[in-house]
Amino acid sequence: MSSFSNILNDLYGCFSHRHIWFTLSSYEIRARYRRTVLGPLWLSLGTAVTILGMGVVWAAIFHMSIKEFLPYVAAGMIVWTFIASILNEGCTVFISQAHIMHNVNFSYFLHVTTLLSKNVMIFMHNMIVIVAVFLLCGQHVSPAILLFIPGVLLLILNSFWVTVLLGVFGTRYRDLPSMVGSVVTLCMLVTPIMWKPDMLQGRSHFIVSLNPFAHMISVVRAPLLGQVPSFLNYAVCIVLFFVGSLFSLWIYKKYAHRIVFWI
Amino acid sequence: MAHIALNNIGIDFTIYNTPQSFSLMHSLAKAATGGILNRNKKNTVTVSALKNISFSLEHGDRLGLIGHNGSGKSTLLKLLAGIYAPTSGDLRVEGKIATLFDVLLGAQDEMTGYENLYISSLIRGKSVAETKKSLKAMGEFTELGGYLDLPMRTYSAGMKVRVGFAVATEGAPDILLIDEVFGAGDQGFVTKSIERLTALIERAGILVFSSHSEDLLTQICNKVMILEKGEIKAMGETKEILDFYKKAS
Repeated sequence: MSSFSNILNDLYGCFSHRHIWFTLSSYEIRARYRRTVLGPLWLSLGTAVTILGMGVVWAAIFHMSIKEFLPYVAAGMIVWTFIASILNEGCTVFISQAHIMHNVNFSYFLHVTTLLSKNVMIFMHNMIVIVAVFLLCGQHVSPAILLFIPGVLLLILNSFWVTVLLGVFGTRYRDLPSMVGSVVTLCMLVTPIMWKPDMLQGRSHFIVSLNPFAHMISVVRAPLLGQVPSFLNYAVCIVLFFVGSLFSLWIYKKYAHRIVFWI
Repeated sequence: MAHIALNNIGIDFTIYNTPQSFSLMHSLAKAATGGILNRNKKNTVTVSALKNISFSLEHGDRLGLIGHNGSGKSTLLKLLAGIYAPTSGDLRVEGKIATLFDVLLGAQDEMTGYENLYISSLIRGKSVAETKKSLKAMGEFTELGGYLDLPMRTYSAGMKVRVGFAVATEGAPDILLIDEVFGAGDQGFVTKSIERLTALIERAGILVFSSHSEDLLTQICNKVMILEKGEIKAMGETKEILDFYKKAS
């Protein structure tokens, strides 16, 4: 078992090597689109196609105006895309870096932050779509948009502990990646992304209030749409961050030194 | 100052989900190589990869590791590198470490030769400034010229090794750990790469390297250790240990 000071050491080691995770993640994105004409713009385009398609169809199903519904779907979808990648790729965060882990002694958190920074970069590409959709639909922007920044920070902070936790268990239990993969889509459907919480009209409202993803998305999406997230939204995200981080660092402390043998 | 001290080190690890049909108990007696295997629960196997390892090395020491496949050479090198944590015992390693286990560490086919030199150098622990400073020299060493601006996927296996080798042999580590990598590429390049590696070894404070080549061990090392089933069978002056090893095998 490693000690608490080892964890602090690992966190510091990760921070002091930030040039590595930044370079690794941007290389990964560039390598993926190296031989394409549009390059990483495909990230934005792919998201745009999904959002447009879903926004138009679901607006029709719910008898809502596209102008009102599209910005909502767009803002929700880019947050969800981020969350879904973290859940899926988090399980294999260490397995996919086995090569490095067997050759040099890096802080394991470095692989976590590489994954996060890659997904933040993808998120920023997707923001182009948000700007385009907002311009297209004449979405109003209010000062509440400033809350977007703390919202994204909360999202990233929570992603950190989730990735560490999924990474440790995903390496030891190889069923986890498939298990997570099979529930991610379900999570998206039960989370208010393509529908609005008020459509539940009071019935079964627990689907939203008990869903951590709903709160996570809300703290980022609401400011974009000119609304202030609720106190409950923030409370859930902040409590999740502290409880989750403590639990995940405890697990890390317990198993960190064995991860490399499990790979 | 580089310094290494190991006191009664052991490494056990568990391998999960081994097939149950694998009749381990029958094959246990026959295993001539590898660490000691134990089957504790239904489908897990515990490997004692290293046992009772105690020794120390000071600045200037060049230690060679010999032994069968699976005798624990690589495990010991990974332990010294800080990749494996000891299960028991006390480990002290002081100094900046460089490893030369897999020459192609960090290689990405879609990126150019130069980009690969850059990223591999960072992965090997160099700072951005150091990397930028040595980039040109590493490029020249590879003799790949214009190819360095092309993606690695267009390279032959030998050309890739040139790139990896250039990065791996850069810098001046306090402790250098090498796992059987020697000579790279075609005939002309092998001489050049051995020269470069020798220069790296001379710059290093402590060298630990595993090899099957007795010539190399005699040339480079002042100490040799024989590992057998994860334990130190003998350790001492190069010549005397090599003679002992030859008689024993």
